[in-house]
Amino acid sequence: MGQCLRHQMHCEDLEEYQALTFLTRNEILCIHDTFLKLCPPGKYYKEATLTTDQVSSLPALRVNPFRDRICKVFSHNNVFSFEDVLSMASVFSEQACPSLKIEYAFRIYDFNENGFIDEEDLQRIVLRLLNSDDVSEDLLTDLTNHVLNESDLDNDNMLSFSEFEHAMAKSPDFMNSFRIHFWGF
Amino acid sequence: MSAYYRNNGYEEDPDYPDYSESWNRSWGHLKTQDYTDSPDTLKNSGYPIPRSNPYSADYRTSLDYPKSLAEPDYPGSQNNPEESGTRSNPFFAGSRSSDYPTSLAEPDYVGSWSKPSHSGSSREPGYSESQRNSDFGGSRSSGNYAGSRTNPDYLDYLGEPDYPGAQGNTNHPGSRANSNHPGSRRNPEHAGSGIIPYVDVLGEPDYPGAENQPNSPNFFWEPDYPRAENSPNFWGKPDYPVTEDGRDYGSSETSEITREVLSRTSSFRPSLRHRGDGSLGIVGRENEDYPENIAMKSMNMASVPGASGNGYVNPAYVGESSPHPVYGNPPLSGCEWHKSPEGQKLIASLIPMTSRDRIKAIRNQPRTMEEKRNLRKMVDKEKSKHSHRMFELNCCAQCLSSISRAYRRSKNSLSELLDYISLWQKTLKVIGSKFGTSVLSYFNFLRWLLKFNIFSFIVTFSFIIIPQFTVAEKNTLQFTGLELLTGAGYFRDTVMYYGFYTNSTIRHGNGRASYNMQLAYIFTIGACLIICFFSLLFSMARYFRNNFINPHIYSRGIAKLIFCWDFTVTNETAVKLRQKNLSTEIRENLSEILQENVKLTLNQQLIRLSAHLAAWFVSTGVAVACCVAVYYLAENNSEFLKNHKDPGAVLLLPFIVSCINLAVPRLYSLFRLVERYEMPRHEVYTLLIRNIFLKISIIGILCYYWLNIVAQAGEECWETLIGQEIYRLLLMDFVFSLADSFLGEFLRRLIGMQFITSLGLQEFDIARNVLELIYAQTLVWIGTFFCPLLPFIQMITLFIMFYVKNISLMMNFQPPSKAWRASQMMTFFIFLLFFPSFTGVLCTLAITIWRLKPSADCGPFRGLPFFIHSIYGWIDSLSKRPSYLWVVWIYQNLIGSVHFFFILTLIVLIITYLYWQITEGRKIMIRLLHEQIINEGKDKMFLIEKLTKLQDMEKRANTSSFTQERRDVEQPGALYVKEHDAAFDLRFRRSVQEENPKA
Repeated sequence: MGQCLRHQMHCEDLEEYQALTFLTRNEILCIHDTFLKLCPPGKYYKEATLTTDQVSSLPALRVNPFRDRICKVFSHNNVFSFEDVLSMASVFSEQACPSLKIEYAFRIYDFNENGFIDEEDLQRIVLRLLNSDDVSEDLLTDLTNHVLNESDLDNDNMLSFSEFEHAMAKSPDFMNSFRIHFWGF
Repeated sequence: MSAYYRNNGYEEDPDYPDYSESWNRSWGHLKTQDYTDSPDTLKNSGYPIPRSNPYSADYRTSLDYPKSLAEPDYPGSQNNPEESGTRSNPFFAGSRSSDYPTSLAEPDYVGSWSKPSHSGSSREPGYSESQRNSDFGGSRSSGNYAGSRTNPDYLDYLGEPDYPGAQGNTNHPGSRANSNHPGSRRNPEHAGSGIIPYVDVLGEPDYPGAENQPNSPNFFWEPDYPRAENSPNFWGKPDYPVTEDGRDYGSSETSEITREVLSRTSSFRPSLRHRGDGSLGIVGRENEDYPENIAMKSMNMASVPGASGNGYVNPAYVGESSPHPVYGNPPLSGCEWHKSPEGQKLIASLIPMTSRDRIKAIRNQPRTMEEKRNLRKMVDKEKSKHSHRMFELNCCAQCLSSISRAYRRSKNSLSELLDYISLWQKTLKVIGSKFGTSVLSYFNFLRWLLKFNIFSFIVTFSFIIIPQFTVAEKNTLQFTGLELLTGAGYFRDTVMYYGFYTNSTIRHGNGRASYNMQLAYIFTIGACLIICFFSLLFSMARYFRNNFINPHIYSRGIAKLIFCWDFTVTNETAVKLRQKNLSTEIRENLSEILQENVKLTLNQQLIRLSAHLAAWFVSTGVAVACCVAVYYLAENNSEFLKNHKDPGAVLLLPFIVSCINLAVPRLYSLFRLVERYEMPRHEVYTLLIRNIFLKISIIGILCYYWLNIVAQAGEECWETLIGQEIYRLLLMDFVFSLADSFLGEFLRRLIGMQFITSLGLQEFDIARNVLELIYAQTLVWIGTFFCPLLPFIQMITLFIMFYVKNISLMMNFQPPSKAWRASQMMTFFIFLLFFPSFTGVLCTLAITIWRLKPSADCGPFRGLPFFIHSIYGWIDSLSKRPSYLWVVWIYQNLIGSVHFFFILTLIVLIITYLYWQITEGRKIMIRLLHEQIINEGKDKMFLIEKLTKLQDMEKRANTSSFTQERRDVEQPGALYVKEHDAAFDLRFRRSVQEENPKA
């Protein structure tokens, strides 16, 4: 943590970032450094952008099975500005509040972006989690049925946000595991 | 939205009055079925009426309206929402000939919707309509409406073209008529929202007419902006300016009609989605009847994630091909978001907050940085406006705010500093990234214990040890080196042990400042324990609160397995391994569920039961045998020591105890081969209970030995002897763990990797390791009284253990294959640390202090009959001094009084009982609510089924005229694109034109 170099970032900007995110000063500066390292030199950090490929090849995301979804959810027009990276790190930080985490987790898991986690989404999640090709169709349907049985309160065969939130709020493990450390690498 | 469909049901249902009774959801759908079965005729008959009605022109004014009318068989089932939207206006319904029951029924539903408890927290479009229509509800309740029903004037009034005239109508108060007007205007727009799901279908690639519509993309996407802008308005804000509504309506509604026609053959899915939205709304609405809808409120809150609901819930979802970010806001409103009504509302709600809360609330908004920044700016601006007005003269407020800002800054930098010095941040992150949260929880626990010990050490060091140093006598004993292990010899006359401390009052200089060592000793240890007690209690309570939120568990936890992917893991091999493990675990879980349904035969059950019984019997027997062995060993130890003059002989007892602690838990874990638990969780818990039973009973038996035999034997300075024993136990335990890590685990790895490769790498046994920590901590707590430096020693051992375990973990282990319920286990561990361990320590120390006679020649309490007499003596001496009488009073009436504690206990019991009853009530409440949600779901599914059937029917009916239709459809679409921009103007003009002739 201590190795972060100090960069010319305006004091007000830094303070504002601190106020608007869950990150500490040091973390923001570290992310800033990482960001500058990745983007073409000589650019002011506010104008520079990273491609989603660059971001998903960060050490923190490189092996994450949901990296493309994370990038999709947090990027704008498929590029990351510095602030996008910051808000991503903020959501995944330890201090972020549960409701925020659940909100973004829902967006990440909602593959087809229809506002619900339906069977298709669930199957895609499972496929990514297991990362093997020999997942039988039976297992998939079985699994999705069980998940829906557990969490789908109104039996419409998909999880709305509130159902998802309800299920996740009961699981403190989710709060602990929905974390990525983007700095210090 | 499904609620909305129901409203349609009212109007179009021929036997409506029945329906009003059947509002109770359980049989409501039967009635709706009636309506859905005969929609065409109704609609056809109803349809021309709006056209002939001047008002309807007023509402609709849409360009496309005539066109869609020209359509031969316009009334598809999809049109329902649209049309009925207009009709849901009582004026309209009234104008539909003598259809009075309908208009009567409508206020009914409006009334039930517009209960104040729901205002502003709605997500479903249907609800907002209720807000808009609430005046009707009002009018009904005031009886005006009822009057108008029987009054033929009502029809006249409807037929009257001049609106101001209507205002003068005696049946309706002017203001209401006024407010009705915008309401009616908004209605069509709302109807538009009802159609949105069908629009989705257009966005989907499988839209049948898409290829014939060159302009369609343009035409599909553009209306999204107004709708999105619109949505907060018709979902949340009843008092949004009418003109804007009108404009929005103009642009979105026009397209809707054409699209509606286009999507006659729409797939069913989108509407399903849309209903999904509404479902929670229904629940919310119907639960208003519950007297305590606390839980429901939270449900509502859940369905409205603040402002986030806006873009996200918007049913205008488009497929993945969508160029817009579906989440969040459409691009147009991206930075303008805060200007939207919802944003305004948020800003308004943020203004009265304190600056800290405000920052927190803004931070918690799921929005981009830019939006948050704008939001903050807006709020600050508003705030400064307010504050200028309010505190213009008050410079005190400014002063306060600057102080608070400075405070915030200093707090920030302080927390940064703490963050900077907090131990092992990076190591913990590496562990987390390789082994996941479960193993990380062990290290967090270790770190937590370390903090505990650092704190205890600081307290004892500053209040006992430093004062003792100032009066320390010269140590004459020789240091050989073996003392490090035995704790005897040289260490006997150091600050380490109780016996070294003086009982005198320390005075320096002229004797003005005095320090009573006796009191300092007892108070410091007491304060230490009390602080430990409370911090344990609070952290335990926090864990319990977080982990046992739901009173009964509905789930088997598969959802958690799937959604709780450990994002912290960033190591590639770890991720692969985790994926593999997860797949086996999921399979296991599924097979478990299958097995659960399989009833075991009586024989199998008996076998299983007997296996469990035998295992329990053996484990308890082993534990008891160990205890007995330890007891006899300890009893005979003194004789043994007399015979063996070797100073190392004292190490025998701790060695045996450590051997037991090392070997027996491994024996216990072998039991799993015999008894097969259905759930791995049960296995873990059983193992934990057996282990903790063993360890605690060994400590218990040792305590018994110390307090009853060592203390009563009349040996010189028995406190120091006990301190030495504890020191040796602790040290031996530490040595054994070190050896275990370096040798045992290393050898196991070698065996696993080189010789028996089928074994593979071992997994880190979190439970066993945590129990070892708990055991050591218990010893430390007991020993603090006899050996005040023990926290310091434990601090060092924990510090070393962290690194050793870390290295061993990285070298010898693989991540655990079971998804470990880390948080729940942590709760359990802290509970264990609290209940048998800490409570036992308190009992032991209480017995020591109240019942035992301190040794006569050493220690701070020498010469007293009991330890507690130091307190009595102090109180006595205080009572002679008048200025300290309050302390005496407090002692006599509160701490020393039985009555006080009796009353206190009674009160606490009563409160506990009340809380328990409240929890029971809440449980019932939750169960009811859960049942209700399930019922709602069934209800919804039934409706959806009906609708699908209907659509299928219609599809079949329309296939013949499909080609014809398409041609008709293309035209309005093309026209629409041209006229889209001007839609608002034209609509407005037309409405004026149409009003004029009537005038």
